[in-house]
Amino acid sequence: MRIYIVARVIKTVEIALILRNFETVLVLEVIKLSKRRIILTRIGVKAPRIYLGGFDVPDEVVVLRIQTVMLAVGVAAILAGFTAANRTNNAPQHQAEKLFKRAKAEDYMGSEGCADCHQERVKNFRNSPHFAFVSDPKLPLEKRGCEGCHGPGRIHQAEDGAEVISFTKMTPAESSAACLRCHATTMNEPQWKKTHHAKADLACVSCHQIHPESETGLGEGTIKHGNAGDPRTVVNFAGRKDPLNMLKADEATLCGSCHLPQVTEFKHASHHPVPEGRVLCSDCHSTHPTRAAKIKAHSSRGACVTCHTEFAGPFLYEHDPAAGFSTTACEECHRPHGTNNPKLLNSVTRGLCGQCHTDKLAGHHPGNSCWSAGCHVATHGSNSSPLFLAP
Amino acid sequence: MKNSRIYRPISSLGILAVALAMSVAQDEPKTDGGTKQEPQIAEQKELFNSISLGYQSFFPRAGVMNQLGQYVNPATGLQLFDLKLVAPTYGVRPWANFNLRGLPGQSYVMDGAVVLGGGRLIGGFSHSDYSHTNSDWQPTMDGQYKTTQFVTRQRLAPNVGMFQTYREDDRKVGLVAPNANRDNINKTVGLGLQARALGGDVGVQFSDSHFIDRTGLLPETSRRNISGFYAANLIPGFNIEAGLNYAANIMSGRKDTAAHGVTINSILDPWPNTALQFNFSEETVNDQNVLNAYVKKRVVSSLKLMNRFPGGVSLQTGFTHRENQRLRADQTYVDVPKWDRWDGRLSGKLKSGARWTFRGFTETLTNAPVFTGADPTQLYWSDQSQAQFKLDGGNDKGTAYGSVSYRYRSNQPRSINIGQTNVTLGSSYIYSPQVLGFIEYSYDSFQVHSAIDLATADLGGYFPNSQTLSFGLDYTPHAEESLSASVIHYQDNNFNGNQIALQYKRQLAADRSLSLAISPWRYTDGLYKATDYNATFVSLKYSIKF
Repeated sequence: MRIYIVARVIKTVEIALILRNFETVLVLEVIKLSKRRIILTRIGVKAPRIYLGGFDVPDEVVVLRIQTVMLAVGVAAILAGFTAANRTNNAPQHQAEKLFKRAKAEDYMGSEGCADCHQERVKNFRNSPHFAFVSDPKLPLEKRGCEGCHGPGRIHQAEDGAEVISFTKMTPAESSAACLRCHATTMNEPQWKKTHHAKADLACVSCHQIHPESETGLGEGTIKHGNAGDPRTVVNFAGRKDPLNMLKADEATLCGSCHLPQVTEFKHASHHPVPEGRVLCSDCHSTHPTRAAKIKAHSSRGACVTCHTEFAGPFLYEHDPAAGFSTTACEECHRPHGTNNPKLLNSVTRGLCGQCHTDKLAGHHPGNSCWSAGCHVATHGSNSSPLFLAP
Repeated sequence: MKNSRIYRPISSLGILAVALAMSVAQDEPKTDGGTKQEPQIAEQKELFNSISLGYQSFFPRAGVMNQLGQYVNPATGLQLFDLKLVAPTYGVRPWANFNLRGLPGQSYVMDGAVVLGGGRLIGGFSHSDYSHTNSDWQPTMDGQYKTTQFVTRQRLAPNVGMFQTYREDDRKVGLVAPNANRDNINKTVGLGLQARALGGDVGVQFSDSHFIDRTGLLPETSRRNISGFYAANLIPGFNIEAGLNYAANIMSGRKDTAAHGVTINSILDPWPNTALQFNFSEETVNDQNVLNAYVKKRVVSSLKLMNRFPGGVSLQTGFTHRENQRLRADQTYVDVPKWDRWDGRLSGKLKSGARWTFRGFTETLTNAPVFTGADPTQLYWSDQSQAQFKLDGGNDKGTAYGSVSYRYRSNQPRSINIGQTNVTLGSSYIYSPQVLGFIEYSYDSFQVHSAIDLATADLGGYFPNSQTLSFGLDYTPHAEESLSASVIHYQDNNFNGNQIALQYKRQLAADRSLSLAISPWRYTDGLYKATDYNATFVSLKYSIKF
C-alpha cells in the first residue's frame, strides 16, 4: 500500500511525499501529472536512493492521494505545540467558566433574590421550558436557577452590576461557551465552533430566546412586515413557533432575518414548502451538528433523501449527479430554495439534461423534455435500464 | 380532480378534548415543588393559550388544482386555524405545550412536548398530514404526505444524556404516465447517548430505517447506521473531534451493501482572534450490486483559516480537496475524479452599523473522469465558481439590504459556460406609527454560451431569466384595528403568477380579535398551457386568548 501526499507546485508538477508499506520512506518527487510519469528524481530518507530516470506510476497505485491532508495535520501540530507552550493547561478559558470556578457556596443567594429587582424577567421565565430545567433542586448551585446561567448573585448584588454573566454583552464565543457549560449532551464546543454560525460570530442567544417576551431583536437588516405577512402563510397553516426550542421566531422568519436572499427565493412559483409550513429550515440544515431530535439520512445524496427516501438507492444503474458522485449532488439539477421552473429545476425541459449531455440537446427527439416524453423517466437511478428508461 | 376530504368529527373532537383537558389542568391548584431554593412566585392569571376558529373557502375558483395545491390543498369549510396551549412550569412542576393547526380530514399539523422532573425527561411528538396535488402538466391522483415523529430525551446524570426517536414518512405522489405513482413508507428508529467523559465528550448514535414501496417497484430496504464520536479540548485552544461511522444497506433480492467512514475535525486557536480549522473525512462503500461505475471511496480534506481584524472585519479562507475513487461492479478500477476548491468570506460592519459580506469560491476538476459511450467527452463541470456581495442594515425607521451574486459553471471539453447573476434588493420603512411598507425584488439572469448553439440548438433558451417582486403595506390607524396588504408577483418567459392577500384585523378586546382575509391568486402557464388557475380565498377568523 502506498499513500501519496502531494502538493501541487504548478499546473502539472507536484511535490510528493510517499509513505510506502507504512515504512516512513520519505521521498521527494517531482511528477508530471498529465502522463503520471516521474520526470526528475526521488530521494529516499530511510534508504537513500536517487533515480535519474523516470518510471510509470501504475494507475491502481495512484487511486488515492490524500493531498493536503497531512500537510494540514503537520501545520496544525506545529501550531498546537506553539499554543501549548504559551498557555497553562489548567487555566479556564472562558469568562463564565472562570467566574463559576472561583465562586464559593456562600456567593449564591437563590433565585428569589433575583426576583426582587428583575421581577418581570422572572415572571416571563415561567413560560419557558428552560425554567423547568434550571429548577431541578438536585442540580449543583452553579447550574441551578438564575445563578446557574448568570453567575453567583451575591457578588452582583453587593457590587452593583459587577461580575454578572450577561449573554448579550459578552462576545459571541464567550456567550456560547457559557450556554455549552450545561448543554454538553446536545453539543460541545468543538462541534459548535465548526459551524458556519459560530464562524459568522453568532451566539446561542442570537437565535434562542431564553426569557420569553424579551430579547426579540432579529437581524439588523430584517424586513419589517407588520401584520402584512406572506400571502401563502395567510392561506396555509404556517409560521408556527416551536416553544420547546425557545426560538425567537418561527424558523422561516428567524433564519430569514439573516439569510435575506433566500427569503425571496422561497417566493418563486416552485419552492420547498417552507412558506406553507410543511417544511422547516432545520429539516434540511443542521444548525446543531448533533441535534438529537433529528436524525438525517447519511448518504452521498445529502440530507434530501431523509424525506425523498425513494431516491436513496443504491440503484443498479446510478446517475452520477443524482447519486452525489459529482460535488453538488441533487443541486446539479434542483435549486432547493426556489425557482420559477417546475419541480425546483434549474432549467426547463430538455435544457436541464442538455447542459451536460450536449450531444443530445438538438437532434435526439427534439421538442420534448427527456422525461415528459416518457423515455428517461428514471433519472434519479434505475433498476432496469442503464439509460434510465421507463421500466 | 379527486378530492377525498372526509371530515372525521370524532377524531377532531378527541383532539379538542385533549387540548381542553390540558387547558383545565393548567388552572388546577399548584403544589409547592418541594424546593426551598427556588422562587415561589405568586401565580397570576396570564393568557398563554389561544385558539383561532373560522371559515375559509374559494370565491370563486377557476382552472385546475395542479399548481395551486402542489404543496398543500388549501383547507375549505369550517376551520380550526390555530390552537396553542401551554402549561407553564412553577418550579419543578412539569412544563407542557400542545399545538394544532387544521383538523383531521383535511391537511393539518399538530405537535406537543412535555418537560418532566426538572428537565430530566423530555418527550415530544409531531404529526402532519398534508394532501396535495402534483404540479405536472396533466391531472394526476392527489398526493398525501404524512409524517409522524416522537422523541424522548433523558438526562441520566448532569453530563450524560440519552435520546430515542421514531419517525415515519408515509408518502403518496400522483405522477403522469408512464411514471408510476409513488406510494411508500419509511420508518426510522434512532437511539443516541452523549456524555462528558474521557476528558471530553463522547457520543454514539444508532438508527434503523425501513423502507417499503407499496407499488413493488423498489426493493424493500433496511438501512442501519451506527456512529460514534469523541471530541475534546486536548490542550487549551486546540479542539479535536474524531468520528467513526458504519452503515449497512439490506435490500431484498440484492447482496448486502456496507459503508464505513472516518472523520477528523480540529480547530486550533493559536491567538485570540485567529483560528485554524482542519477537516478530513473518508468513506468507503462496499457495493456488489451497482452495474455501472460507482464511487467506492471518497476523501475530503480541508484547511480553513479564520481571523478577526480590528474594526470588526472578519476573514475566512480555506482550501478543500476532494477525491472520488470509482469502480465498476466487478470491482475493476475506473478513475479518480478530483476537485480543488478555494473559498473565502470577508465580512464587517460600517460605521452606520450596516453589515457587509463578500464571499465566494472557485472549484476546479483536476483529474477528469473517464466516460464511455458514443460521446466519451467528460460530463462533469471542469470549473465552478461563485461570488456574492451582501449589504444590510437599518435603524428604527427603515431597513434595507442588497445582494449581488454570480455563479459560473463550465465544462471546457464540451464548450459549455453557464453564468447566473442574481440581484436581490429589499427594504422596509416605518412612515409613521400607523403606516409601514416593505418591498423586495429579485432578478435572475443567465448567460449561457455553448458551441452547440451555432450548429443546432440554443441551450440558453432553456434557462429563462426570471424576476420576483414582493411588496406590502400595513396600516394601523389605532391599536384595535389594522389593515394590511401583501403581494407576490413572479414571472419568466414561461410562467407568471400573482399572489395577493388583503387582511383586516379588529381587536375586539384584549383577549379576542376578528380578522377577514381576501386572497386573490392567479397563475398563467405559458409552457404546458395546462396548469392555469384563478382563485380567490376568503377566510374569516376569530381568535381568543385564554
